[in-house]
Amino acid sequence: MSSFNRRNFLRGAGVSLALPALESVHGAPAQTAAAKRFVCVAPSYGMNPGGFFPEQTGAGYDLPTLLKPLERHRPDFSVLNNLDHPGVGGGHGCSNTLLNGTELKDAREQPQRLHSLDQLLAEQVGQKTRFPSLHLGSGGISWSRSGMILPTDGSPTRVFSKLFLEDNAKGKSSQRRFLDEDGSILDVVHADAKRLGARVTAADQTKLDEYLTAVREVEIKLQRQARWLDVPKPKTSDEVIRGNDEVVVDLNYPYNTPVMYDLMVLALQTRSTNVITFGHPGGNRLFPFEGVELGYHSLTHHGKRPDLLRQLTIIELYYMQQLARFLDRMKETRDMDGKPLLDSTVVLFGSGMGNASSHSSRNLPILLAGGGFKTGKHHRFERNGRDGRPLCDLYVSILQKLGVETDRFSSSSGNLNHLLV
Amino acid sequence: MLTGVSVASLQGADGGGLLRPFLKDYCIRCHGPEKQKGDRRFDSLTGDFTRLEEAEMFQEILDQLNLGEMPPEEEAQPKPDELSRVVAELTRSLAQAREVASENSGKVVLRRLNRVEYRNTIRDLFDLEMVDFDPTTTFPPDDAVEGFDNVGEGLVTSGHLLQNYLEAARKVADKVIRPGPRPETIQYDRTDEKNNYSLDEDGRQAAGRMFIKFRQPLGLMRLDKQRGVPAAGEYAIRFSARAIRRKSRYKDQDLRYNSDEPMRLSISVDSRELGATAHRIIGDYEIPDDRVLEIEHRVWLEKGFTFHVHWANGPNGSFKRILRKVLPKYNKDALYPARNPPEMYVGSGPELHVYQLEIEGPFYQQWPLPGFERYFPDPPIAPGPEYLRDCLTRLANAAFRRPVTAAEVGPYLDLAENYLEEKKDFWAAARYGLRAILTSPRFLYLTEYASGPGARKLEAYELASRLSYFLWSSMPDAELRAAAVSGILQTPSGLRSQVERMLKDSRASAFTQNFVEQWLHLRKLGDMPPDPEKNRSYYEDGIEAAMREETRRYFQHLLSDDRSILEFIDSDYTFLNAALARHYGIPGINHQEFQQVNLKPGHHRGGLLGQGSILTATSNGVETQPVMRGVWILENLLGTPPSPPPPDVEPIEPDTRGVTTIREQMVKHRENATCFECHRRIDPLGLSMEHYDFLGRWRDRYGKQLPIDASGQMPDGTALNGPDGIRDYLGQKPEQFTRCLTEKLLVYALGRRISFTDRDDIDRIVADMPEHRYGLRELVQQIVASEPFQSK
Repeated sequence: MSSFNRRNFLRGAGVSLALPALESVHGAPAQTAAAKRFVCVAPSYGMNPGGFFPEQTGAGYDLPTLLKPLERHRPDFSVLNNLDHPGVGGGHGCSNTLLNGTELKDAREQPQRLHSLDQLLAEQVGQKTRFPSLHLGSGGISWSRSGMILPTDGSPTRVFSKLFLEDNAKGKSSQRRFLDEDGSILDVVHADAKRLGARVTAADQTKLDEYLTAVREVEIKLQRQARWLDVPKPKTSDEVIRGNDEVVVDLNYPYNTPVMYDLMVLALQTRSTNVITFGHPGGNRLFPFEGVELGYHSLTHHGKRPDLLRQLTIIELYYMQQLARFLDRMKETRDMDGKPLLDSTVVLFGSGMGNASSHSSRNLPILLAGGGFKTGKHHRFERNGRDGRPLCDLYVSILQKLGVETDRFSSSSGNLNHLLV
Repeated sequence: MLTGVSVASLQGADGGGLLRPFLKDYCIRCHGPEKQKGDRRFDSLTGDFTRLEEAEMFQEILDQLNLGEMPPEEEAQPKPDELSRVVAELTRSLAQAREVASENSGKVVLRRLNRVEYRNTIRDLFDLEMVDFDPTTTFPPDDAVEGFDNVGEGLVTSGHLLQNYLEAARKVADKVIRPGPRPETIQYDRTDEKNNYSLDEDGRQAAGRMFIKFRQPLGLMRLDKQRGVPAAGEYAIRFSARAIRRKSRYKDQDLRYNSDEPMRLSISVDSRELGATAHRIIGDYEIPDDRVLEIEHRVWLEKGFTFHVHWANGPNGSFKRILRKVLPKYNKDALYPARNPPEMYVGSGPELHVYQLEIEGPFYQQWPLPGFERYFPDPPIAPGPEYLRDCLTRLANAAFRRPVTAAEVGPYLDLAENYLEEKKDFWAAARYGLRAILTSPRFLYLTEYASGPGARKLEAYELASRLSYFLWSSMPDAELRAAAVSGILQTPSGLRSQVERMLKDSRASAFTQNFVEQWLHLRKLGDMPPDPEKNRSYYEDGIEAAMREETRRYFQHLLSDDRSILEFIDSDYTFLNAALARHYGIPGINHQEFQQVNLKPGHHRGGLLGQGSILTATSNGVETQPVMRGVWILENLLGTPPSPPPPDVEPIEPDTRGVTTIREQMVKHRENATCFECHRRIDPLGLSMEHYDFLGRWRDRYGKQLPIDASGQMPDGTALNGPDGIRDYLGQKPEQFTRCLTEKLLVYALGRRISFTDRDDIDRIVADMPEHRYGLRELVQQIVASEPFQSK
């Protein structure tokens, strides 16, 4: 019966480790960190560098084409030039390395190296919310501690119901039953895996350890779910996905980017989560914009042909307009202290791909806003041969801003506090 | 001791003693402290062949020397006798090292089932129809190692996956455990339905016929309203139909319709709950002119599914368009385009009439269902704990793929029994036990027990599992398991006949599909789809699916008929349907069905290199990528993949404003010395394929003007020109291609990387293939018969 004891122990530990006392969910916990939330928006094909990076550095730069929609936010964001991940090669895979700086092929032996910034933050600042993190849009940038890409949700209605719709009583009670039953199943298989481990080779035992770790992960997760089952979900109008008398919501309008942004604001505002990643829907869809005649992916292979670049710019401008709108909303919306949500939310806009036309992983487009960082400038770093400044230096600054005590992350060589704090 | 010998030989102390000076004279300039071309550095080799990394590096050096690839032609060349002595020395040392190393390397790592294997195993364990029931849809994708997603190293288990396992087990338990009486049969037809689909309410309704409005679906309202069929089971869908006025006074182009084809009626199934992903065409029938055809189509439907029939090749576009735009051209009464009644068209143009539409079911060959009865036979009226333990033991026995001891299965039985005691619900307890068994590592992993050090033959049950996951991607069936029990499986002839039997079984399609898709990188097909606006026929004619099917059938043909694997390189036949033949520009193929087609030289097809699947998968949906194609050939046909570009080399951004052809772009690329090293092998192969465009169509020019230059020269001096040049080049290297395919098959069969300790076995298989006329099925037999396959 030792397994039962172990689970009871975990259950206790789960409550104190993974979950706060419920008051603190609703009350205002004293936080020393300057920022409390993290949002990352990632266009998987990067941004055309010619339109993204300003010519001049410092505060008074001329706005390049793609930053024009952000003009009204100029003091509230910084552009960082010549950041990239050392050791990451080009190709489509580099998009996935945005938040971990590591390619899958280099992490075979140590999958934990793939653990991404947002997931590390979810462990640190996401434990007091119903969802430690949300992954929206198209996938590929959020990696679990065990080195797996986390699935994303690209459907606004599903995201809405996950965040705000209560399951009915019957659904809840069967959920509670499943959680309880699954817990007992895990006890049995955990013990059995240990017995099995004694019969296999040492190499195989390592593989079984993976399974044992997974069991523990799920146990903690189940306990978290069980606790939240009794906490009502925040109430909110479904106008965001249904529209109202004045606003018509087209869920498909360029691939639901505006609705997703609205949902992100709601999720942060209702304290449903503190960590969100959002991959721009990409693919090869034909955007229904005047002047666009080719699919998005086809256009990123522009080979500098002016007509293709012109079309690509229309799409990229659209994405920047949506980002500007998101920043508007993040300023209007107030947190518990009555301050703009943006002030305590780090917003990172960026891609693991630099120049899509060459599928380059160099000089990534990176824009940072909010979170109480010192912003309003264009910083250009030195390039040393192939490499610019490690992007992970920025991540160290972000981690620290969110109250994580660390001075390194993945391939970092330092931090960027001297420019941003 | 061996270490001593090897180090001595490297240092030149013993008789052989040639390696170090040889490396110094011919290799280290490029693979030493200054340069590490191809990421290789040899000056730090100590000569300790017992260290696995060193042995693998020496093996690579030996391979390069044997292939004559290194040193490159512009470098100093060793004298023939010098070379042959070094080769002999290396071969001897490596053979010795292998013997020692095989004791403790090249082991199969414990691996879990991948997603496909999980799904197939559930199917076979419970005899389920899995077409529309798939508990694995939310599983995260499996990573591939060495190109295959069944290699243990890459099959990680995470908390996320485990949670999916728990949920999948729940779904399976609900699906499998169906006690109680046989579900009642329903029968719906249209006699009691108002015909919403007919164009006029009275006349045609009375005549009892339904008119399919072009491509819109026609179904049974009662079924749609009731949210589909009441229970999972086999249903009979019946209809009768007739084609009317296939050719009419309307021109085809006005109707957007082809009157030369017989009319076709297709049946689709849908599920409101599962949404668009569940939609699927299950049948397609040619409807004769002026004669009523009666059809009964039997199909397994999951609970909640509905069906509809469609006029698959009816006039395209909206009915309104015809009323407004087309009718006025033919009918002088049709003056008011907006007000023309449908009756004006009805009776004058092509129509597909359906007279009867009916569904009946569910039917079962036996009840209780076999997958339930197998583990829960003759349940007593009030089943108790003892029966529960019996049943779950039977189940664990099958699910764990080996006989289980009471101690092994005990905790699972206790869990279910406690549940029964507490909740007093027998079938809920049974489901609970089943869920635990399906979450067990003994089910999820292919376990092989350790027993003492050293390489060891697999136990009979372990061999049976390895075989079934190789050929079926699923668990052993009763017959294979019986062969394991009796020991027949461990005799060469017994094993051989099992392989023959298993390859004939329909489950072997998993081998063809999973191996071929991964060997040839066909899973990339569809990742970068061409622009739908500019490539309509690609989508409308289902070219992508047809391409896949061509390659699948081709492999299957070689496998079933034990034909020579050299036909992968070149052949005078392939498999096509009408749409794909049209895509390829091959005339005279008019049927939907795939057929074997004899090729003429002017068709520019033959072997894998002419297959659209591969040509499209190596392009990016916009243009061809000669580098990708070159790498593809080196990797998958020649078995000599180039090293990936070193991380300090930036891909060159194509600037297509100034230069005109891809060839010129690539010449620019090769001007860079680092790039040149590999690209001199890659580019000639890739450029020779330029006659095939990004969807695999033949072309002589880029656009309308620039002619294609498909010439090139391999590093060994062989001149290539066009795909036939590559076919000849490959055709002269049957041994190299055989080795490449053998290694790919072995990785897939073992679920692990090839180790250098497998070399002797691979050599032996490759050397024997000419004797077996290079037969593909024999190659599979040889793999199964090999030492690595039968040991852990």
